[in-house]
Amino acid sequence: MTSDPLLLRLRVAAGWLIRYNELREIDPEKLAPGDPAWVYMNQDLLQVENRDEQMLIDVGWYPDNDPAGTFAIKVVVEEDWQRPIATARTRSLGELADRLEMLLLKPPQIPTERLVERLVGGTAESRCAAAEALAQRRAIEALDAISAAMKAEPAGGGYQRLAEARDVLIREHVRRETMQ
Amino acid sequence: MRDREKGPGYDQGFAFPSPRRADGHGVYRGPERSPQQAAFVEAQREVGAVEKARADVEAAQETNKLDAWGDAHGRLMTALDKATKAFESARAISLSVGSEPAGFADLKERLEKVTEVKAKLDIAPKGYVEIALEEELLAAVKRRPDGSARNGFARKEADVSELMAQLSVADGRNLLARIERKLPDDELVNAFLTGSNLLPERQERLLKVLKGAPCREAIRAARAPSTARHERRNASERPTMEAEDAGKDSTSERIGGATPIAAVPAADSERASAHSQDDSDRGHGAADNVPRATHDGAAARHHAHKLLVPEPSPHRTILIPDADHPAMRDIDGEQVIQTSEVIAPGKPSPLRGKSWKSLAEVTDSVSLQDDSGDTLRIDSTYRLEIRPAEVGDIPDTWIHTERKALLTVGSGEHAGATIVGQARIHLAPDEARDPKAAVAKASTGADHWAQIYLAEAQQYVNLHGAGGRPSLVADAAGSDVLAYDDPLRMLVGLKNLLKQHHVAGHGDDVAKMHQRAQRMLVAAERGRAVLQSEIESIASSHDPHPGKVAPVRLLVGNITEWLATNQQAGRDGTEDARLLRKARTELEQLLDDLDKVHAPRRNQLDDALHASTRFAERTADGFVELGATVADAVVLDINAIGAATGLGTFEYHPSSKLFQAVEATGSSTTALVAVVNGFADEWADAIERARHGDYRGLTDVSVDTLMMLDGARTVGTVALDKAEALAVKLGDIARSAHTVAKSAYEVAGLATAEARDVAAAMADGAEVFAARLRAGGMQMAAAGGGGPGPKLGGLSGEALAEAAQAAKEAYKGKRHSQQSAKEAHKGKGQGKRLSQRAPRDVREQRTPHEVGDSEIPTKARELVAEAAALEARASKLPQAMAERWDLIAKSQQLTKDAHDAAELSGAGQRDAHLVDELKRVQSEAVDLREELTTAEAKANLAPADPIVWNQRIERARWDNHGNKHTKARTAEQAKQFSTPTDANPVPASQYLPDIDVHELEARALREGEAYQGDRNNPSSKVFLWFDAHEVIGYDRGKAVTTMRVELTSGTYHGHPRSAL
Repeated sequence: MTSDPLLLRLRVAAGWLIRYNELREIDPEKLAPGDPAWVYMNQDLLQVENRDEQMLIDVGWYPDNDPAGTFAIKVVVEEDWQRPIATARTRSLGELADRLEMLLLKPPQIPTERLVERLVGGTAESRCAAAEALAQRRAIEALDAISAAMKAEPAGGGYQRLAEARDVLIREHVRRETMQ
Repeated sequence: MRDREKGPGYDQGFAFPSPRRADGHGVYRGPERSPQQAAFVEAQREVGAVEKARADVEAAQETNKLDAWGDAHGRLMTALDKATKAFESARAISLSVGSEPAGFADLKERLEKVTEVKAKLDIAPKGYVEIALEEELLAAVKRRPDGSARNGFARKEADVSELMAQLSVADGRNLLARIERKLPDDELVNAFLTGSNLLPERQERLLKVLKGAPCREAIRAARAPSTARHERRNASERPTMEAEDAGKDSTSERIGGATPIAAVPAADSERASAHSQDDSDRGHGAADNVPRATHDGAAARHHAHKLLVPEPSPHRTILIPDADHPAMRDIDGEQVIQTSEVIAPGKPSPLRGKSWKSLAEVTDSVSLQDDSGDTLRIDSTYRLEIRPAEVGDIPDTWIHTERKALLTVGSGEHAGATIVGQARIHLAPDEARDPKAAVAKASTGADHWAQIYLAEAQQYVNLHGAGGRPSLVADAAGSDVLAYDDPLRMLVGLKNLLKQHHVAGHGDDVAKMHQRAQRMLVAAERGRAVLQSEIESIASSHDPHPGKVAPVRLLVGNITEWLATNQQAGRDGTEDARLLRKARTELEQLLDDLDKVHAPRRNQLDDALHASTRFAERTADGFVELGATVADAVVLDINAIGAATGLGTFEYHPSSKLFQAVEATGSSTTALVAVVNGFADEWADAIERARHGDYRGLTDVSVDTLMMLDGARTVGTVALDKAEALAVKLGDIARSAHTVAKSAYEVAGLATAEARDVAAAMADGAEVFAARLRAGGMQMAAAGGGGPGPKLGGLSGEALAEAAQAAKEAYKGKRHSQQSAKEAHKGKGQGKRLSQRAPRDVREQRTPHEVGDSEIPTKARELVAEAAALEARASKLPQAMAERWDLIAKSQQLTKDAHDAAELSGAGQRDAHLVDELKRVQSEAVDLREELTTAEAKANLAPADPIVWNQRIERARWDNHGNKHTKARTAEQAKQFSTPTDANPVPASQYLPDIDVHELEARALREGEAYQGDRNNPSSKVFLWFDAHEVIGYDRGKAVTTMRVELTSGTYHGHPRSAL
């Protein structure tokens, strides 16, 4: 019985959970078209998850088993596969590993509009976390959204956190106005 | 001072009255003074107190003693207050009297002098001595880290450490003392101890740097031979010091005589407890090898008393130890020559596992090298420790030593030694606690053991001291390796070990031999299992597998060759050799057993007669009494045994273990497939055993088969996806059974006539069964419409039942024809014990594979079906497999040939040429089938063991894979999401929204075709390909019915795919 190629060695930063890993040390550039190792190259190669950020990093080879294909990295939040926040394509295994490690070490920032979307629906914790992240970014464009979220939020710890985030943004807004 | 304290008044102003003046009672009452005099005396006293306090304050300031200053300063303030008041009082009286007493002006001046300098006296001393680099250190400690916290603080620690390393020994000690005192005003210390500046672990490390100042100083001295020479010259000019140190430099004297060992010993560090430090300060014990130079006198001993200094001789003369030195020559008579090369000192490792209370501990390190390029590094730890008393209540004192040595010989081989020694000693209460000196002290129960690791051979050698000698030194003296304070001797001892074990100079060969030995030991373990399995298999009447045994025989030869080579190399006593000898003996014994083992001779009649008993045991526990029903009665008239056992008819009985699976799973397709496959495997095994004279299985499986096949009717209409595989398997079985029967006919005495007949009947039954299955499958495929051609895609339970019935009839027909032939041969009444019923279809007996004219169309259709099945199997081989395309081409040619033959047979051309052609195609089909089986095994597509695979499936967890393939809410979305666009050139395939993906992927796992991985190996991942025969989703914008599913690490998931 032939053994599987080794899994690709990656340095995974803290906070990431490996959901699935079949990403192996197979360099497609060095693989002949009829090589049996093509069987390993498919859409689902690696998936790591950051639960705090609700972020997934997914790696696959597209199209499945196609020697003319390419590795693709997709970074998605809240399983919104149609709107990945970052994508990359390469045929080089080394470059793939480098990019992956960079992403794992320094994940891309969740776009502000996606944080604003989190203010609606979801759990109170996710709403508050989104508001706090927006406040940290001084994203004054989210002021109205946070105010709206506060109206829908029942009084309590969640409301308080939203209010604090709003206050931060109001101060930032005033500061900018003053500077102008 | 005393005079000043008395004050000038005592000498100048007043004369004390005579002590002889006394009152009437003879008691001295003091002089008779006027109020002015009394006030002046009082003022003088107070000013004197002020001056004393001032002197104390100044002294405290000079000595930098904050506590003393505080005390003196307090007294000064009080005294000043009192003195001022007393002086003012005296002055007021003098003013009232109109005259000042003599000395009043002086008193005023004295008081004013103190008052003038009061501001200076108010300055408290720091309480500590500032050190060199104080400001730099403070700045470095207080500096905020740059960059990331981790790197910034690491840099800061490095900077502070670098500055601390530059401190002199005295400054280092001062700073240590300051850190210990933690004075509130000591800014540097406070900054150092502030956690936000330096974390406690960094503080700890830096304190170690400070504590290492004496060591660094000593090393600096050691590495500066010119300075050392200079200092030594200075030292020689000091006869007192020379005399003091002369007796202590014992190591140098012992090793090198007048000009001691040139290359040695550079001890690099010490780590002593407070006790040992104090002892050393007093000049005890390990004061040998003192660099007499670096500092003067006691300070030198104090700071670097354990340093082993390289001989600073300008000549690199090599001095050979005297003739009595054990290191004079090594085991080969080679002269040991030393060079003056100094090896940089390293860091000794401390003693491990401090389970006992340590009294004092010293570590040092020695490195040396001879001009053969052999180097030895020794890290030693000596510890005095308190252990619970062995007798009585007073704890015992033990000396415990541990030395770690690494020898690297010039040819590259290594020997590492761990040497542990211990002994109980007695220390008087006032005796110095010097661990190094204690090894030579009289002791009880001295003991040494050493473990030497020969790296290339990965081999251990154990050594022990003499045991029970009066001291540790004496205990170790007999062994070159164990001896204390003689690194050269240890070098030779370890080198001798390498030579004795024939490792020195042969490191590569030894390492290779060891690696090969390890591989052979692993192979021997596997070989043992193979032989045991083979012996068991043959003993249970199975085929021998010489192909499996041959590598084991080869291995035995290889082991013998290895042992011979090893013996030639003089390493016959190694652990590798011992294990390999043992393995060879075991393998030879097993091979001998294998040569002797054979299948037990069977009494065919007994076996046949007990078939019914075995049947009952398999089907209904407890029904063992079956009377005298004979085996053929079971197979020819199945209901007869039912009547005998009280079970009734055997159309279906729940006690049958085969049908327990069907019942448990609700007669599902999966269960039926498992049952049929299980039966087929059982049948194959029985036939293999029959080849070796054990026909019990053959009879048993006949009964089970008929039972199972009858029962198949009750499961109703089912889809049987595995029918194709089953048909192939049954075809193989039929062929095997024919072979058995044929060989039984050809080899007289191999089996009883009954057994041969059973095998022949089995062959017919299996053949017919397989043919009917294929026929049924073809009809089903045709009824379904479309498709690439006839193949066995589905099979109804009814078709299965019909095939079973046909097989049963064929079997029975064959058996009846055999019986009729016997009766005809033996006369009437001979066959009475068999069924009384006449056979329905008595066929003429013929040799296997003979095709009658009437069977040509059927055979041709069967060939077409089989060719299609083979083509399908070939297409499922991995694309990357080299044989795949060749096998597909062959199977396509076979299909074409089979079609041609079928057409010809349908056209009524039933001549001899057609029969020959059919035989040729049949033969090619057989060959192709074997090639395919081999290729499938190579691609790990072995058929799944139903039990193992079902267990894996049951335990597997489904994973939605982040809903990557299930985001579409409509079919249109599924198509859209999976279509490559500029924005998303590499989209994931999508399932249709109404698909129960969990269920579908579970079904694919159960029913899919594995194209990668071993389903029978629980740790192997398995990739399966599944066609749902309906659209399940979109891949690259195209609707697909197929998908890939995989089982990895107990989790499964999949996605739609257009092609494998």
